[in-house]
Amino acid sequence: MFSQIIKLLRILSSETSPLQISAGISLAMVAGLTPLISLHNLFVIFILLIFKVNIAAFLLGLLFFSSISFFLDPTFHQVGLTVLNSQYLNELWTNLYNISIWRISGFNNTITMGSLLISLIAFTPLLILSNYLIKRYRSHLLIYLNNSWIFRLIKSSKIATRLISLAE
Amino acid sequence: MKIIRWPGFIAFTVLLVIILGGSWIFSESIAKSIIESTLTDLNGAKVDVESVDINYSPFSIRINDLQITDPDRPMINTIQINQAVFSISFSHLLLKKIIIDDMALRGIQTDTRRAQSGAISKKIITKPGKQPGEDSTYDFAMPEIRLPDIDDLISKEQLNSEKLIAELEKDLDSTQQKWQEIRNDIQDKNRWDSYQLRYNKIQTGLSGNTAEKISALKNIKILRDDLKKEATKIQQARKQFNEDNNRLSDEFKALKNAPGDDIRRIKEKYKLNDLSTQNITQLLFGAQAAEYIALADKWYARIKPYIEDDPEEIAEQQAKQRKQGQNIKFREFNPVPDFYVRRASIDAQLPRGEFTGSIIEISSDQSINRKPMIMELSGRNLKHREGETLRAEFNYIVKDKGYSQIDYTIKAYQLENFDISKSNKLSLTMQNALMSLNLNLKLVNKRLSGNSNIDFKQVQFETNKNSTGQSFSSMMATSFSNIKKFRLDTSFSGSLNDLDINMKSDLDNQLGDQLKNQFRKKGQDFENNLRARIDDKLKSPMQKLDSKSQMLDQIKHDVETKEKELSQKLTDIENKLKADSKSKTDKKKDELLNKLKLKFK
Repeated sequence: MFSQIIKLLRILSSETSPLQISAGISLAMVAGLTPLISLHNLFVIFILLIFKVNIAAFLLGLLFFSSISFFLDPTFHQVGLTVLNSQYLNELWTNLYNISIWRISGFNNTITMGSLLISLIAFTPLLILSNYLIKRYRSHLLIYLNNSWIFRLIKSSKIATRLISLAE
Repeated sequence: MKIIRWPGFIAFTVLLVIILGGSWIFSESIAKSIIESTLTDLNGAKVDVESVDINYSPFSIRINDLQITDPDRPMINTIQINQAVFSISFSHLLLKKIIIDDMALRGIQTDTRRAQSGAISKKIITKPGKQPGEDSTYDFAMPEIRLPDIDDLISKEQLNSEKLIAELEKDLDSTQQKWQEIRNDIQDKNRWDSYQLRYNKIQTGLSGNTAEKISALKNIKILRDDLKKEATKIQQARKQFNEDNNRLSDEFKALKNAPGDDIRRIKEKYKLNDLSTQNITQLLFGAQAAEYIALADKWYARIKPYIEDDPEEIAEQQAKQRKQGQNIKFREFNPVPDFYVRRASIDAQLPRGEFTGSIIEISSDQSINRKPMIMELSGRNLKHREGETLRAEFNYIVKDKGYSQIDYTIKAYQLENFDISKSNKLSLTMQNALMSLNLNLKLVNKRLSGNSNIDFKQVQFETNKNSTGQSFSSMMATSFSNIKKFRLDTSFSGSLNDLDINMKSDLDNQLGDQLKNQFRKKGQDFENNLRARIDDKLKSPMQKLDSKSQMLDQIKHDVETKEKELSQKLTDIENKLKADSKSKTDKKKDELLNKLKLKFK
């Protein structure tokens, strides 16, 4: 847990673009909240590897979102059930159901549909919000912390150095 | 800033190639593993596959040496298939549907031995195996109708004849005593001597003077009255004798009938009148039928999950849905069941011959493909039989109206050493017979109905009786040796665990006639023996009764003699009195005539 926090702090404090970090976190949300072995997650991995998305942020995010997804499954099931049973969307779902690739995607599973839908809706807001927060962190909090005597004391202490090296 | 990460692209491509390549390289091992684990879970015992070959164009799978362990006998394979080839629709496989257009099962064998036990650790079968000798289903309840031992029976049974003899003897004694008293009284010598004396005196008086004559006449009247009293007494005695005679005669008659009544009562008591045949067919073949039903029940239990919805499985699915979500089904443009085999050809080498046939329309949901599953098998190059065919239809297109129907025929099957009964009372084996069977079964709503007709010809029974000549088994053994052909008709109805089996056969009639004759003869012999023994037992008392009866006859005779004597005497007296009266009249007439003559002179 300590090492995860250290890693997160290192990423946040690094030269990496805030957008790359926030994209990693947002993609991690999609992969973490939805069932891991799904066709759409192959697409997530494709984006992750092709585009310059921060992989460390993705892995940390994946760990976090996978952990909380278990508690959110009942909500995902209800959302998915409502959407898949919707009269207005029935024709769409029927058409997709008769296409092999969509059937493989498991879109007709209530948890897959619910979690994917929620994560996709939350994707852009999370991207923007995390990007904003990283920028704010770097421009305000990080400068303040770097200049504070306590932070400098900790950074220079052998114990802190030792702990960081252990975490790494 | 560059957006595209080219090393990432290469990594993704490599990853994809590794996944696809790995799947292709290891597909056969993966398929083998999946087939083995899935079938093992379904079977409840190990299912082994030697190898799996996958052909991608057209997509087909070939399974080599499939061995399915019998869950109840881990060292035996229920079925072993040398080669199973499937042409599978790849597009449907991606949709998790197994659609097989053509399936060929070659070299099917049953009950083959396994090199290693096929038991799986999580399911240990601990059913004790039956030893051939202790197979109770081959045994049947032979009715124990051994005839009772006559000596034992005679000593045990209270005979009514004996009771009647005792009563009659007592009556005879008392009657004899009474009669003797009467006879003694009637034959009282002193009295009769006095009568004779008086009679003689009267005779003398009658030939004496007038005074003596008058006295004699007076005495003769008194004697006549006394003798009449004696006659009355004798008549009363005779009346008494007659009454006693009638009573004793009735008692004798009852005694004569008593042994017959005793025999009837004993026969009734020991059920000797019921020596008729029971439903021999049910008795003999009932256990066999029950064994086949148990076998059918076992196989039905195995195929049940595939033709019926298991409530436990549905509950398990629902629990799984809550954890993994629910897969919503939408209308399919070209609906197909999750599992569907359009046609499977079968080629089996069984110990009794080669069987070829096909199964069409194997479906996990017949309401989708709208056709019943039909299995047709027929044998060739068969051992000990001319033909064997099986046709089975499993129609669950409309689940509520679903049914399974089986038609099975065997033509001219050469039966050899077929054990019907291994009873220790009567071991019955059909040593040779030519059997033809026609079986029709229908299962609707878990209720089985159907019938079977079996013709047995050129029958040769062999029996090993371990009993004495009096027992039912022994009689059966004798009767069976004369049976050369018979027909057995069976009808079934009810649920599999509570099946009502009704068997009819002309065997009953054939055996029945022979057994009835034997029973009748044995019954007659027994009755004769019993009668002889009872007669023997009654002989001595009866002789005693006869002698007593003779004594009574003697008394009766004595009294009758006395009565005759008395009657003679009375006639004599009456004659004398009449003669006296006539002489008196004549005398008076003469006197009057003389007086009249004197007046006219």
